[in-house]
Amino acid sequence: MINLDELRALHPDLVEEQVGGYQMCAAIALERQRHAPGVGFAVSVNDELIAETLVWRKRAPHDATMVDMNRATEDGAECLALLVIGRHCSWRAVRRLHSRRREHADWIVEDQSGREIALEVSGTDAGPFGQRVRQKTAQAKAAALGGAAASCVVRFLEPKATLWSDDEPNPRTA
Amino acid sequence: MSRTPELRELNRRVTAAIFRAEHLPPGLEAEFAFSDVSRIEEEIARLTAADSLEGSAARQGAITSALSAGDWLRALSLAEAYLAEPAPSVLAPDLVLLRDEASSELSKAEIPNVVQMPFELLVA
Repeated sequence: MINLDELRALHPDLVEEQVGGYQMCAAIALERQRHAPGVGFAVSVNDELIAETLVWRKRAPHDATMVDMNRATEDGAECLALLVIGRHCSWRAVRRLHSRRREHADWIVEDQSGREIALEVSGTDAGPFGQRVRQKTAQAKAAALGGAAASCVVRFLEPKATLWSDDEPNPRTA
Repeated sequence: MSRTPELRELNRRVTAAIFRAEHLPPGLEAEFAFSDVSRIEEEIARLTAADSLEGSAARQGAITSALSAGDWLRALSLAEAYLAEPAPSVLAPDLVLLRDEASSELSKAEIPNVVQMPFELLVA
C-alpha cells in the first residue's frame, strides 16, 4: 500500500509547500478519474510487476477547481513517481531541475549508495502509454550526460506507473 | 555522493525556488523568481565539479533560469564563464547552444535610447 502522505518521510529534503502541492494534485488527478482511496495501482519497475494500492485523504470538491487540469496531471505524476522510487528503489530526491528549456530531466535523485541518477517524470490522464515510456526513457538518457538515468511515466485513467532505469535498482515490494 | 550541509541546503533552496517559479504565471513576478533560481544555481555550480551530474545541472540551470528571467546578458556571461572551464565534452555542446541562444536574444533586445544631457555642477 502506498499512502500519499508518505511523500514527506520518503523525501525529507522537499519543502512543505511542495509536498502539500504534489499530494493535493495527485489526489485531484485520481479523483477526476473517479477513483477512490484504496484503488489498485499497477507498478512496473524494470519490467517487474508489482500490484499496489493507493490511499489518500479525500479532497473537498472545491479543491479541484483551484488547480489547473494540466498542473494536476503533471504535479500528480511527480508525486506518484517520487513515491514509487522512494518505496520500491529506496531512492531519495536530491534536487529539482529547471526543465522548461533544454534540460531533459526533472530531478536528480540518489540511490542508497549515493549514486546520482537523472530522473525524467511524465504524467498522462488517458493518453498513449508505451510510446511515452520510450520517449521519456530516451530523454532521461540524454540528460544523464553519460551517468545513470531513469524515467517514470504515470497514468491516472487506470492508475499505473512504469519506472525504467539503466541498471537494476534492487526493487523491493513494500 | 557525500554533500556538505551547505550544498544540501542549496539543493533544498533551489528545489523550492524552481517549484515556486514554475508555478507563477508568465510575467515580472516569474522573472524575478527565475532570477532567484539562477543565483542559487550559480552558488551550486561554484561548489560542484563540472563533470558531475549535479555540477553540470547547476551550470545549465544557472543559464536557463537567467534566460527564463529574460536576463540575456547574465545568461551570456555565465555561458562564457562555464565554457572557459575544463568542462566535459558531453556538457560543452549544451553550453554552446545556450550561449548562442543568449547571444541571439541579446542582439534582438531593444537598446535604450540614451541621449547625453548637458549639465552644470553648482556649488551650494
